[in-house]
Amino acid sequence: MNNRIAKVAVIRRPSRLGAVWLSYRTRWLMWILAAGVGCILFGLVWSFWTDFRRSKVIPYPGARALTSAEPSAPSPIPSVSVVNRDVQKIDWAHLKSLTVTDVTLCKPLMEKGAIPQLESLTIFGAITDQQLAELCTLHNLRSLTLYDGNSLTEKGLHAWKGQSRLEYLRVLGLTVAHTSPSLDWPPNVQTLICDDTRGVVVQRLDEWRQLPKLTTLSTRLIPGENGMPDETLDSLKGFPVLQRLFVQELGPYYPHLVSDLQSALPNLRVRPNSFDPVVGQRAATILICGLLAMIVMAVQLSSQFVTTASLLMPQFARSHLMPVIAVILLMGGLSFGLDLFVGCSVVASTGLCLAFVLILALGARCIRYLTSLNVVPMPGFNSPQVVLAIVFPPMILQFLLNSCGSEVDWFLRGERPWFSLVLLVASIWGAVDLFRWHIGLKRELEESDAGNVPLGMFDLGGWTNYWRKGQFALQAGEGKRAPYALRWMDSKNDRFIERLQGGNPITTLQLWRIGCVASSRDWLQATTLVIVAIWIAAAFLVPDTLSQFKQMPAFTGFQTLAMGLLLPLAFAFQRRPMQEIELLRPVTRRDWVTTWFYGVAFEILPVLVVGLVFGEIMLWSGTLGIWTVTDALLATVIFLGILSVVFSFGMWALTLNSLWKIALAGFLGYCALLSCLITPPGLQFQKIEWWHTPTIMVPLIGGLYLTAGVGYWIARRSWMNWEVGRSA
Amino acid sequence: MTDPVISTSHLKKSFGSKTVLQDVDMNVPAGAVVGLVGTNGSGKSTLIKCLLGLLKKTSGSISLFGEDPWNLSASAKSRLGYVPQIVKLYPWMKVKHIVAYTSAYYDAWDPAWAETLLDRWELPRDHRIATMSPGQLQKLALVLALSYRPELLVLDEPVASLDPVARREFLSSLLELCQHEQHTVLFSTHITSDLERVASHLAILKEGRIVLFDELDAVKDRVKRLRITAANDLPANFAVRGALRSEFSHNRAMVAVGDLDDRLVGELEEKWHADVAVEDLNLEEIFLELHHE
Repeated sequence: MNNRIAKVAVIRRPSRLGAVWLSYRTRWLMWILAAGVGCILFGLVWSFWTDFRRSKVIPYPGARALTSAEPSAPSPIPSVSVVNRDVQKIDWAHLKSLTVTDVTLCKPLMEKGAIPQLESLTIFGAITDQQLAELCTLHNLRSLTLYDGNSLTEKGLHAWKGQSRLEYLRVLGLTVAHTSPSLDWPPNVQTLICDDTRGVVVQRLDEWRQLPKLTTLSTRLIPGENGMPDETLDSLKGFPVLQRLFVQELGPYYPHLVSDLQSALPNLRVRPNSFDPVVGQRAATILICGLLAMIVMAVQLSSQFVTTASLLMPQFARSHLMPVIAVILLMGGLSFGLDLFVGCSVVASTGLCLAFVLILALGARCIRYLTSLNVVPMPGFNSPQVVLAIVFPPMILQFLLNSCGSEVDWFLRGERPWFSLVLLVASIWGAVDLFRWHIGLKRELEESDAGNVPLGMFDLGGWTNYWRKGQFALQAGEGKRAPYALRWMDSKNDRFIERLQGGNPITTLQLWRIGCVASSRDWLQATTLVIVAIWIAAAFLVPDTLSQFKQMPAFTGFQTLAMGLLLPLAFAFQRRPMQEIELLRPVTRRDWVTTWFYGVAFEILPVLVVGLVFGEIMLWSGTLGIWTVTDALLATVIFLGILSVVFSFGMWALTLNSLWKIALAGFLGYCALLSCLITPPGLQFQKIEWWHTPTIMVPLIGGLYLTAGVGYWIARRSWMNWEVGRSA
Repeated sequence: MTDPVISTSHLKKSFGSKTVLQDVDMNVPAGAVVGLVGTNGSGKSTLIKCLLGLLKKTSGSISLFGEDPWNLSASAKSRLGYVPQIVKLYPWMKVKHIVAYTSAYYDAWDPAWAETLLDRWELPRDHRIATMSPGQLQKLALVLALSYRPELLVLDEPVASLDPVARREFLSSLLELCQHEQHTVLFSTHITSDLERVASHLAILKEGRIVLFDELDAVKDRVKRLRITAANDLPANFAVRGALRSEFSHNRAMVAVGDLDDRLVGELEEKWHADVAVEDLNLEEIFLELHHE
């Protein structure tokens, strides 16, 4: 007997911190997320290694940053580039935006009245005075970009004096502007980009000062030995409505030109006219990496503090403080990394890095209450701070980089010290508050919202807690009115359930649907409302980004659809524990599986309809360029194929038990979702033209449907062999 | 003789390399109320889930209403009621909704009987499932399982969360159901006193094997405790044929036997010149004796 006892390994007693670490490292979710962080970091290091020295400085405002200086740029709908597309297909009569390499290749441009609705024109090649005069007959032209103004003369520029509708003018290589004492400019231009000033800076500034609507100017200013000459500064001060001034940077020769000018011209927003866009992108990547680390921390903390032990075990909170400090130190380290590798200011990047803690804290404080008060019962999604952190910061970052890259660049240079400091202080407060909130989490759950699942939909063990806690769920709210969403659900159930009888496929499907917490249609409506509200709010708060917003519907629309596509699967996942009972209803296993497949498919149907309508609107409105019927059909076929793939693998994932299998199936489904980017609208959006090639598209579509078919077969087989008794 | 409602032969169920059920042979006749008992982890829930087709057998055979439970027909399922150990119902629904929802599936649903049961167990129709205690949930699950008067009722620890009053109510409902019509019930429990009150048969599961399956009265007749008082001190190698457990000191011994017959008592009296007193055991004692290591 004693020998038997001696053979049993005695469980070693770890230190308190060791125990905390044990609880972390035994959690799969943490390793999955940590792997994500590692992958991003690896990618980042790889990109530094291979690409860092090849970063190029792009004109600024130019390309993507242009929008920050282009508040009222004409709508590019419908647009076309004759560089790559067959000009024969173009509907010139309705064209509004055009990009050409050489004017002579585009005959309609020189024919009077051939493109009556053209609003935006970009020409890469050189143009002559005569051609400019022809262009100036385009009465609706609001935006003109000339990349080679070398051939234009003083006399030729008289032509655009009559162009009263032109609001945006960008002209490069205008050699005549180097020396000419007097030039003509479009009278109502609001944004002017012209760097060709050379020795006649003051003359040019005096001419531009006469433009009554000029709000944005990008030019080259030449400082003297003692800084910017007074007469230049005086000229700049005399502009009637100028708001933004972009000037060149001179490096070591005059490192503080921009900031000196900003000091001298406090009423203007002075910014450098060139920047490295990679800086912002890399900063964003590092930040997302840190964000993932924070999500790991938040998930882990939630799962720790949701236990009764958090209230009963001595020094529990203090022991779990270490991971929080570790993550904050990691974020601090990242900010130094930003300084070292990317060249950002330490203060700015630290503020930015820690801002995610603030987002998490605010998410915990605000959004969580919406769910915990059962405004919307959403078991499985009750880590809203994490959802908030996953969904919004990357969106916000990308949005900021796209729409106001100049401000992001300026901030990252450390030129907004007060803002950085406020961000930093607020973030530290957020970290403290987040930790305090976690300390009280268990009590809050017990007392007010125990009916919600705190650990996320993939934490299968969390379900048991959920059911056991059910009795406390709404006791605090007994006697109060039920939340709107529940009352609405009650009324729906009152209306439908009692007159439903199973037996035929339609009523069986309707019965099946009642088992879902909400329908995808409801969620699509709610999500659409939220997204539209965000658009409107952002449009008011950030007016400079309005023009960027015109390109956003396609992107955000896709996101809404993607969410709508995943939600029916998520709702179905929440029903897994009930399958023991559902399978024993008087239906055969085959019928049960069929009902489930049809049920989820019918839930996806609204997404399909909305997606197709949305896609058609996007196509025929011309937002994504000129489209033919073939293009639209192709897009539809690919969209349906992607939908089938996501459906198949999603259905498969519903039956899986181990986290790895679920993660694998989810990953496959997500890949399919991401592959929406290779649909014709996505390709058009990315300005990729190869999709017109049948040798690429035919195998692509074939592969897509084959994958969907294989996925469906696997899913069906998996359902037929699903041991629901193991999942309950 | 009618076919058994449930029949298993050499049933084996493994999860990976771990075998939970091994060589399970059991025939539950129609009309029997079978109490399934076993220690924690002995495989009771696994057996029930295999019988219902919620888990796939590894080997052996199972028959439920003469069909393979993995591919049970709709008509067979309409004759089957089940209450799981942990009741999981849609938390956003109210009692009246889940009752209506469930009734939609069953042609044989008896609304009056459902109402009676709801009243008997004091389940308010407007109570939301999310707010109910585990005991209330258990009662509701029983209402849902009993309301279409299933021919076979399978209950996995149905009274574990019930208070004594509710337990008594449940047992009387069960008896009522079984007395009026010929219903078969298989239920697992740890509360042997309940089992004694309603069960006609007893099945004891030990380490994945059925070690005892018989009519309850027969079990009680077979498993007994013997108090032996011998004329002289008993030797160190004292042993009794078929003993489940034995303790002895000097000239006294206490022996539990699994299959008592008159011959055994006679043998002991003769061999040890002893007085042998035979004691009846209640179910809990039988269970403990069978699980004695």
